[in-house]
Amino acid sequence: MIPGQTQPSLVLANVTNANSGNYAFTATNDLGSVSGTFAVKVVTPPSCALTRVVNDLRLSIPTLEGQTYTVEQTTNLLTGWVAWPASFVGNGLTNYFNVSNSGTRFYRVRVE
Amino acid sequence: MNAFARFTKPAQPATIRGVGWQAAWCCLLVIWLGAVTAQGQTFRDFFADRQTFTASSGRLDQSNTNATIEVGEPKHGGKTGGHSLWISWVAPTNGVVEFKTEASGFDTLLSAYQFTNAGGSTFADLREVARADDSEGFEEESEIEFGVLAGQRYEIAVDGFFGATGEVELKWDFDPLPSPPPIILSSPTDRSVKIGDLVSLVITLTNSAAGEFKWYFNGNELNVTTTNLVIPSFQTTNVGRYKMRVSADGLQYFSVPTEIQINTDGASNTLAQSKILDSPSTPLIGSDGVGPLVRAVPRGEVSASGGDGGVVRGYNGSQIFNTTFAVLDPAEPTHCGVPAGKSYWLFYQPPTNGTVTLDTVGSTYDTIMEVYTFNGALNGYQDLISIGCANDSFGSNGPARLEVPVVKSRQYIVAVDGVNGSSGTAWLNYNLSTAVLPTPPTLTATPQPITVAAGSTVTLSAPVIGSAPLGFHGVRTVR
Repeated sequence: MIPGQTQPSLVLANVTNANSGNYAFTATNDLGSVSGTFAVKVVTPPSCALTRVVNDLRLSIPTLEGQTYTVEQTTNLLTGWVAWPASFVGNGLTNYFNVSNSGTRFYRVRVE
Repeated sequence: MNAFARFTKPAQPATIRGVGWQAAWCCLLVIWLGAVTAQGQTFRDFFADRQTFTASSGRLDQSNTNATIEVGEPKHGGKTGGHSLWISWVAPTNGVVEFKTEASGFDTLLSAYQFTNAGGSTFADLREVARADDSEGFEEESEIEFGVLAGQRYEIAVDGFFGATGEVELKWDFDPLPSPPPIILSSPTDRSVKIGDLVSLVITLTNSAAGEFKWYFNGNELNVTTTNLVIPSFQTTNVGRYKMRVSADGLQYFSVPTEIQINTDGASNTLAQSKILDSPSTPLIGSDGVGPLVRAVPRGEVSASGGDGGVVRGYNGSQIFNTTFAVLDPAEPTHCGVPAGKSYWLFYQPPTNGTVTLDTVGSTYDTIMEVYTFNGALNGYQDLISIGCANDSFGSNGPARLEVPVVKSRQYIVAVDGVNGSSGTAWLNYNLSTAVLPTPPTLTATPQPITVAAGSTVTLSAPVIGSAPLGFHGVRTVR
């Protein structure tokens, strides 16, 4: 039960990952009732970094458990973004990817 | 019932010497009143414990917070209380006595009783002599006056309107008369009549030869000097408050006002009320004509349905009333956001599901209307759920009109108020149609998953439509 929630709208301000979840509502009048559910997912943009380790260049992505990460790359910031074939689900640890020998690339990470 | 609401004395000759003597008398009175309380006499919670006062004037201050009501105790002021205090007072001689709760600081009720027989001692033996809730112009104060006979005992009760509590300040003052005054035994009750009805308002008195009488309508004197006021064909201009002045040996006092309204549906017990908590006691109960009306009929009156169970009521009609004496309650919500302060409340239970069209067409002043309902018990303004309001529906400074889906099993309260405190004769017209029925809540769209970035604000709005009042509750489950 959401205490005091008797209005048709619920405002969640300054959300965090803890606000993720299902929010179910039931509307009732003298003639019946109806229910529905909003699935809310709060995502946190990762602080990605490129680091050189010996002769390798590594892309590090800190993750949060349960969030899905998709890496995209391009050679032109304005166009041509290509997603890596496999997304991955965060495990709360930092994930590392070797991006050596790729030439000049731009990377971005989408979190869902 | 012998009941009075206002007491006046003829003006005394104003001389410097006279003023000085009055001031001196007041000083002596204060000292004497102190002697009353110094005797240790107080209000008592239990009727059987009440103490007897014989002083012709006095004052008692005491909280009713811890007072209770007893089984069988009458409703003081004719209304629901909950924390009553009692005294017994004996008239020193023939005259007129006034009791009032002036400066009590909360909404009081006040009644005076006498035993119907010499050996009476229980509530069942009491006959109400006078009653008051809000005195005209004083709002929360209660005030009664009545003629008394030498040596007779009167039981005085003070209570709080619907459980109100606070510091009671009861004052009384007695004026003697050389001979017994007229004693009112019964006054007409508030009721609704139909347009064109013969209305007869009868005050029953004893010793009527000792007095002179004059009727008043909405505060204005009528040229009627008998104890029976007859209106051969009642019209909308006749709705309002009636009272009779009794004059005896230079003293004047008034009967309890009687409010007469019009209900074109023939619902004689239906009344719009100045106080919201009074409205459930005089509702407009709809009937579809297939069963008896559930409205209780006061003892001694004939059922409005005639017992045939076939009356169709609550579909079309008008409740017509006068709001001149509406109580200004500072705690009352502002209807439609418009400054007002002269509201009347009509309690309505529709006979079937449908859409009721309400308007105030015909009113003699600029009206506002708001429709409320409530869930569970109605204990005050905090329980109201607004389901529609209207102002100036046909143009500026004009009547209000709105349509509201209604459900048979639900109770509604319609508030009619006057813009900027204006008042007059109000028409509340109702027309219930079954062509458009109230609807259950339905989803207008399927809620979609929402992904948001941390730190942002999310508003979840239930995509639901349905007839008011819609109640919502929410549950959050872990992802």
